[in-house]
Parts: sequence; C-alpha cells; structure tokens
Amino acid sequence: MVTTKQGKSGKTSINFNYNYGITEQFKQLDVLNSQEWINVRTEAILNQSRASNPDAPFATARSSALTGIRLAGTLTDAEISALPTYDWQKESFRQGTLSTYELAIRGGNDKTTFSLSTSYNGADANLRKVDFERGTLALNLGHKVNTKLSIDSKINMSTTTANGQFGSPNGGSFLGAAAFSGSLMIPTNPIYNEDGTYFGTPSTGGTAGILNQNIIQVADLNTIRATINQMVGNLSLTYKITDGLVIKPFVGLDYRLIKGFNFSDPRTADGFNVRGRTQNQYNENINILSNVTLNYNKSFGKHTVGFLAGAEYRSDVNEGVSTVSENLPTPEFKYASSAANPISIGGFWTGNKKSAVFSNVRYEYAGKYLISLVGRYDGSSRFGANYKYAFFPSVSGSWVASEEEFLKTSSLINLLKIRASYGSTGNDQIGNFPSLGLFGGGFAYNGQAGMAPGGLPNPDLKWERNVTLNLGVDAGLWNDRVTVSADIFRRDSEDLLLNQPIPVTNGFTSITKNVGNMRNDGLELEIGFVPVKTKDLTWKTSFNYTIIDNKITKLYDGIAPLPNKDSIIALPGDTRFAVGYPAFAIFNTEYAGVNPATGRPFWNDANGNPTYRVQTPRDLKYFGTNQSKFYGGWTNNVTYKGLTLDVLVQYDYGRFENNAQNAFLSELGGRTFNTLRSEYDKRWQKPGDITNVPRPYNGNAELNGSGNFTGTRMLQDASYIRLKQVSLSYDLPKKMTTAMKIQGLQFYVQAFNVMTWSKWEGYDAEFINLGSGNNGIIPLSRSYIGGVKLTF
Amino acid sequence: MNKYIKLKSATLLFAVMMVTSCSNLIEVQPRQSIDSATALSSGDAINAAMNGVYDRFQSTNLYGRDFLAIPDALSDNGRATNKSGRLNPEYNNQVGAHFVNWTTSYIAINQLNLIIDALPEIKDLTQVRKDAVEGEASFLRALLYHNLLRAYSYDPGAEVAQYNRGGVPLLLKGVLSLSSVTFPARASVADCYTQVIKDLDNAIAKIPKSSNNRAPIYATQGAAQALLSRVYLYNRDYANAAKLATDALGSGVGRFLSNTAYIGGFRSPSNPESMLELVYTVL
Repeated sequence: MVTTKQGKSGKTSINFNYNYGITEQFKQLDVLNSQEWINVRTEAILNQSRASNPDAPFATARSSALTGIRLAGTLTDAEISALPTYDWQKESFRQGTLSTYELAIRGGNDKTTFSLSTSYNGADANLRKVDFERGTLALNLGHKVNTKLSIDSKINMSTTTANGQFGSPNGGSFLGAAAFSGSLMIPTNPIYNEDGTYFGTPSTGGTAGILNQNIIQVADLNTIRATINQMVGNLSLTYKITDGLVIKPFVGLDYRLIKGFNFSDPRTADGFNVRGRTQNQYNENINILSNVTLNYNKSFGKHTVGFLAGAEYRSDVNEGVSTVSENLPTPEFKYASSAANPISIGGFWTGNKKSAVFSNVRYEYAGKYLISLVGRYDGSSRFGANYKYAFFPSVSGSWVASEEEFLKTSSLINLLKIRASYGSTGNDQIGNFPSLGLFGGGFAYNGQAGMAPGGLPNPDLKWERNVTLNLGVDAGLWNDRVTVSADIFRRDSEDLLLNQPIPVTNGFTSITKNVGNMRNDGLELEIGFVPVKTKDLTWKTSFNYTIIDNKITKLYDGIAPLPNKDSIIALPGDTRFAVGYPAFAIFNTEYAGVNPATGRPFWNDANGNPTYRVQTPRDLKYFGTNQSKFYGGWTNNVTYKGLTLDVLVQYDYGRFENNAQNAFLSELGGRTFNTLRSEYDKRWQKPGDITNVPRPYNGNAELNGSGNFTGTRMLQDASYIRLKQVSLSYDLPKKMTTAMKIQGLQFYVQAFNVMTWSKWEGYDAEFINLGSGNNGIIPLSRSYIGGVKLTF
Repeated sequence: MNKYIKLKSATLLFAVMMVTSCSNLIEVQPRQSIDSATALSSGDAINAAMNGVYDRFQSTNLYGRDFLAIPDALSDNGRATNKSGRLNPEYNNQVGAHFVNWTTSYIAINQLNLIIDALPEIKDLTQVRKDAVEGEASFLRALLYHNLLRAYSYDPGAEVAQYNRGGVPLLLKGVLSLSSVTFPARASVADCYTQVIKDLDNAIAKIPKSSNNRAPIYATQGAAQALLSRVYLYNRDYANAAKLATDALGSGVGRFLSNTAYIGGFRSPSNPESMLELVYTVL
C-alpha cells in the first residue's frame, strides 16, 4: 500500500522530484560462433553414430550437422570458415531508460490538514519490448470536528501497465523469450534480411534450429501486457470518550482491476497457423477491511496501564472472465470482435473471509519495566467447519537496564534494553476451499458439459500455528557511537499446511492437511558504528547478519522411508519435505563427472558406486536447499556539509538452485541450440581427458545411459555479494536557497547493482525464481540515475 | 453521568462488534464447484459426470497423445527427429521413459466407480437408462484397466517370473473421503483379466443394442464386444476372441471399407472403421 506523509498545518509546501536514468545488462553470456557450433554439432552426431557403428564417417556427420541447420551438406572447410556469426543475444538486449516525476503538496490549518500527491514512473527495460509505466494520485485528509472527534481519510489511486515478453511471468512459452532464447539461437541465422525485414519468419519457413522462430520478431510483434488499476481508500474516526479512552472505527477498501492482454501476431510462429490469436483476462479483486479498536491508557505516578480491545473483519473476493479467439483479418486487428474463431471463454469466482477479536493489556513501571499480553481469536473461512477459529496468545516483556540508578550515570553505556517474548500466530496461506470435497466443472465432451471430483474433503483442516520464543538485547555505547541489536529466536511451526500425497489409485493425488512440524532457529544481529562525528563530517556504518537453521521436525504418521532413507513428500513444483532436512530441500541424483576413458557422464548410485544409469527415487540424495544459510547487508552513510553518500552492500550465502537456462546452454550440439564457450572448452574430446563436461552426444543421452543433464550437474551455488546501491546527493546551503526564495534544492545521483561477486553462471544470482527455475526470467539490470528534488 | 452513558454505549457498540465477528460472518461457499457428497444425485449430474470421464480420456497421458505416439517411439516404428527433445528418452529407451497413464487412469477409474455406486439412488432416471450408464461405465473402466495392464504388467502367459510383480491394484468402489482411502497391493494378472472380462460382459449385457447408433464417439455394445474380443486375445482365449470379434462385426459399429474407399476413410472426420473414437473438445 502506498502511503504519503500526512499534511501539516501552516504554510503550504510543494515538493517536486525528478530523475532520469539508464539501465544495462550485467553480463552477456559467451556463446559459440558459427564455426565452433558446426564443429561441436558434428562431434555430437559422430559420437552417436559411432556408438553403434565405429566406422561411421566424419563427412556424413558433418553433412548432417550442416543440413540440420539448412546449410548445404557439401560446404567445404573454406566455405564454413567464411560463414558469418550473428549475435542474437546482443540484439535481444538494449540500453534501457528510467524516469520518475513526483509532485506533493502539503498544507492545512488548525482544523484541517491535507496532502495531495501525484507521480509518474516510466521504464523501458534493457530487454527488447519490455516496459513499465505507473501513474499515481493520492489524497490524505485530516479534520478535527471538535476536541473529541477527528476524521482521517486516505485515497490512493494508481494505474500500472507492464509490457512483458513471451516467457515472462505475464505468460507465453519461455522458448519465445528473448532473455532465454537470445543466447540459444543458432549463430548462422541472420536476424534481418538484406532489405531490413525479419529473417526466418513462419511464411519463409522459420529459422534454423529448434527454436525455429525469429525471437526478435516475436518480441517486437507480439504483446503480453498486464494492467493493474487500483484504488485504495479508507476512513477512520477517532473519538475520545473520556480522558484516556479512545474508540477508533476504521473501514477500508482495496479495489483492483487486473487486465491481461495477450496477442500473438499472425506473422509470428505462435499466431501463424491460426492467423492470429488474441486473449483477454479481466480480474476484479475486492478487498474490504474494517476494524474497531477501543484503547484506554492511564498513568498513576510511575505506573502506566494500557488496555486495548478490538475486532476486525476482512473479505476478499476475486472474480474474472477471460477469452481466447483466433483468426484476425490482418495483424492490425488485435481485439476479439474482429476475430472469426472464438476458442474459449472462461469465468471464475473465489473468495475468503476472515475475522478476529483481539485484546492487549500493557503495564509499564517508570519507563524501566514493561509487560504486555496479547490475545487474538482469529477466524478464517478456509478451514474445516469446527476449526475455523483459533486462539493465539502471546506475552512480551522488556527491562531498560540503562534507566536503573546503577547505569544512569554510566559514560560507557547509554542504552541497555533486554527483551523477551513468547507467543503464537496463525497461518492460513492455503487455497480458499481446501477443506471442502468438491465436484468442479471445466470438463466437456461432444459439446456437453461435464464435471469431476476435484479434491477430498478435510473437515479437520485447521490453522497452522507458529510459536516463537525471542530473546533480544539493544545496546548503545559511548552515546550511541556503537549500537548493537541482537535477537535469538526459535520458531516452531506446528500443524504445517501441506499437501499430503495419498495413493493415487484412489483417484486423488493429495489432500491438504496439517501434517507436520518445522523448526527455525535463528540469530539476527545488527551492529552500528559512528566512526567519525564532527561538525561537518559524519560517517555512520552498520552491518547486519541473519542466520536461520530450518528443519522439518515431524511429518505425518505412517510415512515409509525409502531405501536411501531420504523420505520425501513431493509437492507441486517439485519441492520436497523430509524429516531432519530443511523445507524445500533439494533431493537429486549425484552427478559424478565424466569417465576419462569414454567421455560418458556418470553418476553415483545410492551406495556411492558409479553408474551410467541412475534411478529415482532409489538414488536420490540430499543436496542442500535454495534457502539461504545466512544473509545480510552492510550500509554506510557519510555526510559532509551538504553532501551525503550512501553505500549498500548485500550478501546471501548458502543457497543452491538448478540453473535450468544453462542446462539448455550446455548441450554441446546435443540439439540445435547454441552453447556456452566455457562448456565447449571443457568438453571431453579424447581418452585421458579429465573434465566434468561429457563428450557431445546427439540427443543428450548416451546409449543405455541416463540423460546428460540428469541429477546435480546443473545445480549451482547462487550465493553472492553485491554492491547493491551507491547514492550521492548534494543539498544546497540554506543561504543560497533563501536567496532563491525556495525551501530546499537537492541534486542526486544513484547507481544500482553496481558490482556482483558470485559463482552462479547465469545472468543474475539474486533474482533466479527459486524453486521454479530461471528459464525466461528477465534478469535484473545495472542502472544509473540522476535527479533533482525541489521544495517551495 | 453523561460521561457514564457514553462509556456504556461505546462498550455496548463494542460488544455488538465482538459478537457479530464470531457468527457466520466468515462462511464462504464456492460458486463454481458443488459439494461432492451430494453431487451425484440427479440424472443430469450423472450425465455430466460421464462427460467428465470421456473428457479425461482426451488427456495427453491417454488417447490425447501418448497411446498413439509412445508405442511408435519405444518400438522402431517411429524415429525421434530430435526437433524438440520430446520423445527422445522413449526413442533411446531410457530408464522410466514409458507410458505414464497410471495417475490419469486411476483418477478416471474413481470417477467411474463413483458413478456406478451412485446409480441405484438416482430418482429421475429410468432403469433402462441406469443400466445403459452402468454398462457404459463398466466398459470404460475395463478399457482403463486393460491399458494399465498393458503398460504396467506382463501379458498373460508372457510373464518372466523373476520380474513379475503381478497385475495392477483393482479399485472398484468410489472414494470420496479420506476414511475410504485404501492402498491395495497389485492383484494377480489372472484376477485383473477376470475383472476386465466381468466388466465387459456386464457392459455387453446392459448397454442396449440401440446404443450402437451413438457409435463411434460413445461406448456402445459393439465397442464392448470388440474390446472383449481383444482382451480374450491377450488372455490367449482364442475361441472367445473369435466369437466376440464376430459379434462386434455384426453390431454395425465400425464397418470394413473397400480397397477403393480405404484412403478416403482416413480423411473423413471420423473413420468409418472406428469402433470407438473420441471427439476432441477443447475447453
């Protein structure tokens, strides 16, 4: 939710902020040129032919490699070395731009204050045809009706339009995404014909290679657009009933209209056979929130007591329609009314409701001792009939030791606070109706509607409960020149909401149940220093570190361990849970490298013996998790007169992920995709070569062998350290602004994602879509921004 | 006094809010699904549930792709062109590269079991129609088990004792709640064939002859006779295979084309030789 600063009574102030920047790709993947690719493809075909016929001739393999990409099979060495190489990756990326305009007006008088603001953000990503625009308008209004009653209201409106590309989260196959396919295109394919038109369009037979489409044309002509129009508004009343007793009713609405538009141009591979396809989605999300709180505060000498009671109610309804239609007169017609062939129409409705009553009692003595009790009684429509409500209590206390006599006079310690809390919260993050057994529609045969069971009922489905014990200390030394904040916590998640598999012979694959427990033990530490503090120069620096040890401690009863003792539950998305291992653990077969004698890849079986053919689940082993072991950041803030420098470094350690995009890029001519030069240089070529990159092999699977990309071969360490942000700003001195009759003027420059250190071999280690692979993901970019802030 | 009244009314308002928040405020019922406990209680529902089963047969794991493509890839009838990587593992006979009809088939079998279980209680269908539905459902269940047996067990008489794990689990009662979930072992191959033959006998007895004019897109008596003939053939009962084949050919469902019409048959929307052919519906 966007919140803007509440207005202030007095002189009306006007703030204006403008910035502009450019974005660029972190790195370009180094792939093969035309000659190298023909070479490795020939090897792949030859290795396959010679597996069954040791005398298979080289000439036949090369001819097959050439004709496979639509070149003459008779090309000579000289003709091959004269072939040009086209850089599709470079054509897919570009320099992007960013711009921001913000205007805020604040003012008011004793009774009424207001804040009005508007903004525009525009970005053309550094990837072809990907852009983003957002406009916002916000009004905050506060009014004191009388000494007892005041009103606050906020209204925020925004519209966001993002143009994605095929393979982006907005839809489409990742094969058509330039971020994915740019590096995979066979380099002998020209991008444009000599007359500037697209090469390899469907009407001219496509491009050579599996992708078979001009991905630049796909990016340029097809549309995948998401528009979100949002209105968030609320109104609250504050009424002082008596001294110290306040009642505050609140009502809010969050309204969102999400439009999806997806157009496959009839000139591109996706739309060619159907003469264009247009898809529309219209989703409406209405979220109503209301609550009321009654708050009582009273001080008696050194004693302060507080009492709060409240109730809340929330309803969330999501409703939508979608259409798909095909066959448009010409590419200029993009909307369903022009389409001759309606393909499908969809409509859906779903919703959930929550309510709660809660209460809080606080007692404080002399600013030193604080104890607080909270009780919540939460209800959610998502659970079984008898388990919709659950009680979640918690207790917390703190002791400000530095307020005690023995520390009050200390010149070393200016703050020492010890905190402890123990309590529980509930989690209902599951689908809306998993406790119900339902027959659903969406089936049809011979023009007649059908239905089928969709899931088993679980009337016992209840809240997942997180019980957290937290101990913390905050300390300030030498008048806050050194600050330390440390927390250790243990969070036990009980009755985890998971999909428990059931024998599918019963007609269902799983049931949502409260099936287990999980424990998180962690430490959060933040240490701050102020190494320099003079009249003109201040340097503040702080380092933070979070380490979490996550483990499944219990799963449902009757789970039968597999022979290799890694008992797993496979969940949708192939994430796995096993007792004693972290949630979303990676279980895979172990890649053991390449047999130096044959160049064939091999794996270790369950007993650790090398084999050419692994079996799952028999040979699965645990290989870490894509959750971080520890992570954090290092911030620096330096001010010198009007100059301010901020530097942020972030780090993330210990997460592993399958680099799905690089698996395609490591095929070494196994199929007609281009390949990384690093893999090409390391490939096995002759007996005795010691390497972990197998010999090229057509089809990527040796005879009687597992596929070349089976197991952990592409599992990579996605740990990284990144210089995330550097910004420098300069505020004009008061003397000058006064002379210019303005309140303030600031110039600033910022750089994001400046440098990265990582072993990850893909485009970007930070945003890799953990759990679902990095195919088609638009990588983060490096950006440089300059701007100005003006206040009247 | 005034203060006291305000305090009281605020407390009262508050109490009202607390109470209402605990009532039925948070009941939400789905609007595009119906309760499975009462779903199959009318003739319309039974018909819709049957359409749901036919829809399932269009799955790519069944007749939507795999039953046509995978046999050719596994055998030498087809050759993987390596155009996309699909069917390469099947072509190379990699471990586990085979039919994957297990899950989809058992989901469809449960749908059929539920329909068969529900039929006796349906008030708005005639006994003739109930019999016809039961026969159709029995036929479809037999077809699913027949294909499961072909993919996951040995054909009768071809067992290799060392690797033989029997037939497939036989589930004949519908499952709608966790308490009725069972985990039966594989039945023997012989028992599985007995069950498939029993279902087909029941189908032939209960699907009326008049259903044959619904061929080839629905299960008919003729199709049941043809399938039973094939099942007998697998079961090495050649006399019955011949008898049922003769019955099937006499049913009028599917007819042999002359040499001159043969090629044209493949070009017609539905091949006249088909005993059972799905009409694909995209949704």
